[in-house]
Amino acid sequence: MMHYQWIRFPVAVSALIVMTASGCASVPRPDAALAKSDAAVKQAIEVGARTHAPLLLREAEKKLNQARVETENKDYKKASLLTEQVQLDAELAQVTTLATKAQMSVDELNQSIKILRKEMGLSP
Amino acid sequence: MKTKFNFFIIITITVAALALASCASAPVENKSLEEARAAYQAAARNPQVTKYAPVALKEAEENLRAVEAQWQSGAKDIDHRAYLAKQKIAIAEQRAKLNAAEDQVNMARAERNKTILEARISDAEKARRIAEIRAQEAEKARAEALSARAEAESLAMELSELKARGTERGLVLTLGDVLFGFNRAELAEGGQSVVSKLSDFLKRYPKRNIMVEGFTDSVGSEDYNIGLSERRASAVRIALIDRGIDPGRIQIRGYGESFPVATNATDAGRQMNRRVEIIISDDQGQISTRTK
Repeated sequence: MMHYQWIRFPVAVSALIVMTASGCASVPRPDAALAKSDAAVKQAIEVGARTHAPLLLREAEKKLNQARVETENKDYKKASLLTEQVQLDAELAQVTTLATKAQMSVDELNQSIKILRKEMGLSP
Repeated sequence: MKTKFNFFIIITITVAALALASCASAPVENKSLEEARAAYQAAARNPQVTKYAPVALKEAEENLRAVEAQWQSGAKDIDHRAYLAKQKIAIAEQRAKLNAAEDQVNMARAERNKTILEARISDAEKARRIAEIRAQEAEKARAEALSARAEAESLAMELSELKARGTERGLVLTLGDVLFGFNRAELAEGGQSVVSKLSDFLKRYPKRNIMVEGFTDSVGSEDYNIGLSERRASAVRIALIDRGIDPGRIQIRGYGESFPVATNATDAGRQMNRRVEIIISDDQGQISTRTK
């Protein structure tokens, strides 16, 4: 059992070395994250964020463009951080849009009920 | 054995974390983190969020705690991580709004269906009320018809009370002398009431016509008596026309002192002779002329 333990030790040490190295190492080109961010922004636009959450959407688009610029400039670290923000910004724009639209449906329905009651001569 | 092995893992991770921290600058400010913390506290106090997005809120909280721990251990990019935490909280809030609104949509739909149902019930209620009113109207009409028939019957009774006699010429009413002013052709009050009943009768039985015949006693000249008897008959006719009876249905005759019904030798007999007789026709409206 003891010898098994000592086989594991060098593995842990090498892991430590790898982690230490990656800590200061350069970040790879964030192509996947950029694609994911782009998709998130497109989805927000699709549900109507341009109309219902324009400022949030603009923020996401601005950061996505910036992330692309940073990628071009080979600042992958900065680009990567930006894509993380874009994804949450876009998600917020999307959810805000959906919430606004749902609230509009509620208002419309309540209005139609009010009209219906009035037409039928029922108490409001 | 197992504890020892875990001990090595912990050592490894700690060393690695220290190594990572070594190449990052120490955090100098946590303004973004404080903002995120404030945003979380606001969201956690919002009952809508705790009710409609508890999982998203929990995840946002865990994320915030992680960022705080990272800041404590001097991790870099704290502004960035705090921003992400803040966005996650905002997303939780919007998700709560969305879920609440969807809940309300469902409730509103149910409410609308209920309202439509109520409206239908109200329509049915209206229809029921209309049917009730119609039934009441029908009942009223039936009652009116009944009372009209009763009235007609009573009218016939009154006519018989007015001593309408069945003769070979038809039903004959006699308006006595007292129903006219003395020596005058104008109908007295009693005469008016008889004429009123007669006009009701004629309206009820439009196929029946009448012949009004005037008579006097033998006192006075024959010309005067014929004139008076004609004027009395005419007064009855005019009174009936005034009450809406077609003039074509009413014929008059003035017989003067002819056809006495009693002796002219006594006051009582003379009074009986001063009269107007009204002959009511059969259903064909025919009345034969007096012969005796």
